[in-house]
Amino acid sequence: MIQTVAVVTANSAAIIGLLVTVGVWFAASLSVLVSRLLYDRRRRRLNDIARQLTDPSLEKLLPLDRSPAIRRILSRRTRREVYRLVASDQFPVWLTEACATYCLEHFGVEEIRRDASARHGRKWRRVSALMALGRIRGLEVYPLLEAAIRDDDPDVATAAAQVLFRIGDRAAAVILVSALRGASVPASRIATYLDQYPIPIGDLLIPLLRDPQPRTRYWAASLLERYAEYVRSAPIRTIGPHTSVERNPDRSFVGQIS
Amino acid sequence: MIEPTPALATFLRIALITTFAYAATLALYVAGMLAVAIAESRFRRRQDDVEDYEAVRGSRYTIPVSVIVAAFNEEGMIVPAIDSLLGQVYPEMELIVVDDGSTDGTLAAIDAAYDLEPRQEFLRDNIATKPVRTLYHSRTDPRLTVLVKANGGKADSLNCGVNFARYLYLCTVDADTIFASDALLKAMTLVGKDPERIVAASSLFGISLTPESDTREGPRLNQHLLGDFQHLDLMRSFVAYRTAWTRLSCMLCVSGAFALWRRDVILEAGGFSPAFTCEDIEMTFRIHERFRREGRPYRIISLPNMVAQTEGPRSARSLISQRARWQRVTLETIWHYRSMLGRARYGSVGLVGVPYYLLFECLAPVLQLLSFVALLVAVLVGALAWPTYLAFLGAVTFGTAIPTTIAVGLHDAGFRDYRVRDLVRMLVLGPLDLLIYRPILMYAGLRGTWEFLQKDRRWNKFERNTRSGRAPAAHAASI
Repeated sequence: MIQTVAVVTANSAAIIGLLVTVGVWFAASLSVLVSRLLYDRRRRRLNDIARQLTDPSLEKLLPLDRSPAIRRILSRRTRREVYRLVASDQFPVWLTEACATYCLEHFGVEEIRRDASARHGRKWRRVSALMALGRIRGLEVYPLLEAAIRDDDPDVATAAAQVLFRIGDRAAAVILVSALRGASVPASRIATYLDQYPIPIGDLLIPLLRDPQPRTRYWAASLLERYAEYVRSAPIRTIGPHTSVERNPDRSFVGQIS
Repeated sequence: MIEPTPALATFLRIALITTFAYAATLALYVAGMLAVAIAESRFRRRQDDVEDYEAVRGSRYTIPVSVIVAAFNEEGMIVPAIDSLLGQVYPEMELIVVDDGSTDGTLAAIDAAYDLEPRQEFLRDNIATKPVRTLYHSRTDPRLTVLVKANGGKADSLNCGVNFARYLYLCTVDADTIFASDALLKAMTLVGKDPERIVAASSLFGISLTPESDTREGPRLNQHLLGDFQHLDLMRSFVAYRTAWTRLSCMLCVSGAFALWRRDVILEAGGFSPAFTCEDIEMTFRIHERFRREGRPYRIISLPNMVAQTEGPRSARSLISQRARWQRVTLETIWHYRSMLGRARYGSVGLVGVPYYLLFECLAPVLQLLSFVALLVAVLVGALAWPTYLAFLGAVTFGTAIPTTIAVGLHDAGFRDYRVRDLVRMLVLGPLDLLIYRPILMYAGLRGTWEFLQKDRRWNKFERNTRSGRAPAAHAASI
């Protein structure tokens, strides 16, 4: 009797196990395929929209107004997904610009600002909101970026540096340059952005040559290489005020050659 | 039906309990790892979405890398491999090819393609290696250096390259591997975010039967059953397990086909060890052991990007030879670093990583064989009905396919680089894995275990796959 019960139990357990594993495998496989097919369909639609958006006759209209389809697509997506489109570097600029405009229109600056200043949790929402604000170049973005670039999380800080570089104006450069003095982003990444900065920033780098940190002085001198007008004086200033002639014979040598 | 003797009945009871306990432990471990892998993959996807590769690519402040290729009798593959490495979209790198005393036309092939000239240069000897006979520089590409040395094995060749390397990060790669043009850029961008702590990194690569002739865009399957099973095996290993181990800070194998190391850490460790059959897994264990013991902060990471296609064996015989070697080196390493097992001092490495390697890599072939025999005997003596056996086999078949399916799904969600038909093929191959591929691996594992017990240290080379229009090359693969 006991043996029969054991056999029946083993049999049932094996069959239930089989049904469960087949079910899970099938559902997982189906979801992989459906997700891919939906992605491909979305991609095709975006290509159609891209063609419409690049029509020269629509040039004067805002990206969102050029094609009703894009507004329709975005209205079906959650805020997280729209934010992700704004933040992504994988999509063409026209799409991210259109998504940023859509964010402004639907969520409002205040809401985006709140997302961009969130300090705990929702890291990627914060990064995306910062990128959205960066795309629309609102004035409220600067203090938020200044806080973000000093954030302990390197992903948030790196994203802030990237947004500042994309904004590319003088106010953004001031924040980036000050981050050279210390942030959770490696200085090499900040230097990468400053080196490729779209406007001249040599005068902002000069004060760093007097920074007490040798590391900061190094980056400043290295970045100044791009600016011919500062090249000769940069190494001299680096050595200058923090050393004395007596203790550093190099200074007198530099004084002679300058 | 056979009447079981009391001894057979006792064996069956113990074997079946072991089988079910092993299967349940494995299922629980895998479920946990998959949950962690899903979280980590989502994180990496978001990180990759916002990563600014263009800025890094155009920067003169990117961390330079010394790429080291150890080559032994790689006449057929070495030039395409060098082409793919010199074609990297990375701002600053040097390529050091170490010819480990090849007896074929490896050097002549490089010379024909890159016009080498011999030079006299001072060579550091931070790590003792076999003597370097000649040093060449390329006249056509100043980034390429070729060192020709006496044969000493892969670890010795890599050490020779480490001595010559100039830059902070080293990328050691196999000579039978073709790299995607953004392989270094993608990996180093992440490393560059935390260079003080990231001491080693690896990334996903695929298996191709003839990687040098594959010019198609994006990764593709081989349309060859064994090749595709190997491709899936690597994807499962990297995307499902190594991703999870990265999250848990216990990534225990920086794969030799594409491995980034911080040079000072390699020098501090005394270089790659020629005392082991393979050098990559042992070095990873050594770094973990040292840094954990000394309480120093560090990270070893595995990335989900497909960075390369490496040559995999076409025949079951070659595959067995290769996998037996992998089993042997795993056993050698686990045995050597057994002091880390279960020790809280080593954190997740001692409590999660090493136990996994012991249970599900080292002991797996023996336990699998035991399960297979026990279940078969149980059916023959009537202790288990055929329908129950088949249902159990079906459950295990589809159960083991679930990690593969999730790995394929995670990769596709992140990169969308396979064609839909390849995705379908990979998903369908998942359940067949247990019936066709795993028995081969089980046999290879048993052979590797036997070789380990015999203290066999041979490389067991597999012959190169036959290329169309060419006779099969009788030289070794470095994978």
